[in-house]
Amino acid sequence: MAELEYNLKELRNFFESGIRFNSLLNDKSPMHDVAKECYNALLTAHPIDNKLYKNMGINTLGKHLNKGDTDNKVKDTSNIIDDATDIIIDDGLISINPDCDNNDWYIKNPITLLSADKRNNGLNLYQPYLKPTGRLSDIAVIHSINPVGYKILPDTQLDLNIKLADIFNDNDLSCNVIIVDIGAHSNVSISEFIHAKNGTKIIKVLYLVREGATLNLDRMFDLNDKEESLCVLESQVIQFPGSTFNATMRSEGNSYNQDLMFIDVYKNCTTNVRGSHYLYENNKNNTVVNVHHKGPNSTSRVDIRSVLEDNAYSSFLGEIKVDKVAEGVDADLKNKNLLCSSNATAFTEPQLDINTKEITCSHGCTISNIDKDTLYYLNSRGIDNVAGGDMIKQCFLTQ
Amino acid sequence: MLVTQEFTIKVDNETILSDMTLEYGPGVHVIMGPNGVGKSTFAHALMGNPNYETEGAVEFNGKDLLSMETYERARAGLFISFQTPTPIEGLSNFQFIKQAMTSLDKNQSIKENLSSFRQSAKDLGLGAEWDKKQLNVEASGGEKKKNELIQLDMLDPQTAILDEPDSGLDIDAIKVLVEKLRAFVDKGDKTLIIVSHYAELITKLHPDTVTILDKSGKATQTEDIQVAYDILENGFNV
Repeated sequence: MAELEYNLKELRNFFESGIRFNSLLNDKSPMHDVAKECYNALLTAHPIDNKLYKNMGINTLGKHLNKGDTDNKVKDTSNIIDDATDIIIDDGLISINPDCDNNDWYIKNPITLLSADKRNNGLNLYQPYLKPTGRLSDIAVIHSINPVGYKILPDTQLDLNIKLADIFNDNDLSCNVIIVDIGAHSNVSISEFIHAKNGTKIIKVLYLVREGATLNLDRMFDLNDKEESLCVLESQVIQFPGSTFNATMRSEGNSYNQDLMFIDVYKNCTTNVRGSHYLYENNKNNTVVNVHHKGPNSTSRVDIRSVLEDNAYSSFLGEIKVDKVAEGVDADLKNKNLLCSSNATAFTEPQLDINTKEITCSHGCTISNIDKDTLYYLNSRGIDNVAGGDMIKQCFLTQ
Repeated sequence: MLVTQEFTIKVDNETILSDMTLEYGPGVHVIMGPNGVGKSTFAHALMGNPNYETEGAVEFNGKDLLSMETYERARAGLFISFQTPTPIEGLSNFQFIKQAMTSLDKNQSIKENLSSFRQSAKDLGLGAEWDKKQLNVEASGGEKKKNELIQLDMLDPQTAILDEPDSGLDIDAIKVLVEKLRAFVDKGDKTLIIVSHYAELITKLHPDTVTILDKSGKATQTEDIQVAYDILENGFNV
């Protein structure tokens, strides 16, 4: 097949063409049924037209031309393999990193890699969590080759370094569906590195944090090769009763980024989501954090911060939803933006949807400039404007 | 040596202080004046606060001070302690002083810096973990003033302008303040300019000159220290 150029909307015409052997075509895929559902929904309304994206500069993504060339797919692992990563994930692929410093950790730890290549992999059991959303992550479900994932067995203590890689050095769309299943009463810390590519990635990750478990997620977007990188990462988190989910997201400039997190919180849970984004040049970063309290006596804290320079753009859409049964919830939602350029734009939209009484719920959003008094204080100690400005930005992101 | 000639300070085109010709050499100098007369304005205008417009001339150790940016004035050896020090969340006291020391080319090892910082904090009765606390965040007024004194200690400028360094300090802390300021001046070739109406501080520091700022926006400097004591006893209206 010759090189094929298409934008995301045009992709609808190619799902069944065989440009990729995706979960829709592959009736043996563990996600085949749900891929069909997503496809049927997409034929009715294309996700890129979803109103959720109205302030996300979606045209940058919509107009981008993906270049498919099935004859010349070349693997390039030069930027992928390192000795710190434990597990490497790409579309339909999951493997232990052969070069990691201590690769017998896998044998010692109660972890199961979920791959469609294995018999009785159980991946189809996760289909109910991946129903159509009307969002771009549906494209990942339809168009990924197969879902992959890893399952941590109950009562496990584990630190993991995960790389969401892109093995093929091409400009084609890359889709991933990843299942992360944290067993009951486990305590797991995951450092998740999102490898940038010269093109679009759409990734859907489902995190199941089982009863009494703790998941500490530290997500870092690639600091290199990001000038042409467009990334849509949608996380769906299910917090079972008594669980804790602590997430930290960090990025520094992407041509286009969407980091969407939808969290369902059941009773007696703790949720902390922290984001810090340093944006410059023409970077666009869009963050959505939706915390849905479905059970009582849980606590959630959301704090997303961005520093914007040059022509950078940031949008934040945050929602705390509290169901009628979720009494005793304590929730706080914050978004703070530091605008360092008159050409930069920050858009912030916090929402509270409260359907019960006896809760504590607050939100606050700010867009501010570098404080002149603070800079003067630093200047008065010999720190010049450049170093002082950098200190203020760094403090803003880390405070 | 800090010399002002016909130094005028304006805010939004309104003159606050005008035509001040003053001289501050090594030693102790006190600035006094009724509330709202512009004592802090004078101090911050010398430091280069961008909120103030200035006219006239100010020479600092032979250099044209008014042509310098604030950070350049600090690097030239000028220091100001703030009446209300600015809080910076996310920045620890020690990170701040470390960056300031680097900017001022005060090259000591981090270990030496930290040791000096902790000793200075200990002298002032601040907690053992003071170096890790965020700069002027969740600190009392007195603690913030002590923090300014630590900075004076560590940065060791040639000329220090202290804006009411005694306010917010308890009796014990004032004793330490007097000791530290005396020690600063006794290093020799140091100039200490203090805005204060605190009798004990003025008495113990034995000032060399007193500058009175009046409500008409004028400044009068004298070596007759009795003027300061008369003001302390009778106020400005006598």
